[in-house]
Amino acid sequence: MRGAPLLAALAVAGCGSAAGASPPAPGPLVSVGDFRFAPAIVTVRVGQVVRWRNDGATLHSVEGRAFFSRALRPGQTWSRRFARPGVYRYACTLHPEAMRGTIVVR
Amino acid sequence: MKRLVLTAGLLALSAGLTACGSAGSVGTIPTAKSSNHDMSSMRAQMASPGPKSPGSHVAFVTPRAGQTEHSTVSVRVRLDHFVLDPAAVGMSPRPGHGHLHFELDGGRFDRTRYSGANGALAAKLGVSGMYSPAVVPHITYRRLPPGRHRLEVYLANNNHTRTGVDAETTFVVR
Repeated sequence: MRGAPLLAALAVAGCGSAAGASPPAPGPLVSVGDFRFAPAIVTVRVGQVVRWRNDGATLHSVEGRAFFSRALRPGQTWSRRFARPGVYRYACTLHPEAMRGTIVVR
Repeated sequence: MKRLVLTAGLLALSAGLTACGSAGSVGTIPTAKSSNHDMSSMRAQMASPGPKSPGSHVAFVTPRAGQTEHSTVSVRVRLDHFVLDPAAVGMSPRPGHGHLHFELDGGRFDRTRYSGANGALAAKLGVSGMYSPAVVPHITYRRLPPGRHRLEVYLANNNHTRTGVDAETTFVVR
């Protein structure tokens, strides 16, 4: 029973990806502003977690091919662990014209 | 005919969104992975205004205040000096242009089950349970439970910020 909270925390940190037993490596923070991602391109290692924080004054989201934060309110953060190498392009569903970003996983 | 107009409007809105997000993955049906949203905080922040829309006005035509309805409620609003612009959804604000955000009971019923295609679009945008976007001046809510309901409508800028122009009404489902 004592391990249940830890397991639950690990599951959340994995955000749907195939999380291993080891805790995810800390990764970069992407600032989600009105109306841009900064930095727009981030490079991480396999297994690292990328966090997004809404630093803007309105709703924003993070959506890629296999991940979706839903709308984030100002100040809210969301994270995803990238378990496989690749180039992951994403955008804000609410402002797709202006807000696009890329995660490069090596 | 009404359904045809609504469908056409939503298709236009969806097309606008997809076209705007032509870089790669945007446009795919989203799947929520994690969220711990504080809905009251969300609603509070959504009040953050965007560019104003001077001279614009919105009012409910149906339902009228206090009106009794069945579980299916047809909502219609009248717009003055505001152009619904499906092709510009998600783009830069333009005064007097934009779309609508309907919010029933604080967003509780702004989901596909209740607001149909509008709710589905809300899910695609990530705002399901917050508001139902619309590019035509009407929306239909279904399967509403008995009781009093509070409906709000906001004139939204193209980029989804609020213009500060809104209206609200209440009705009763028996």
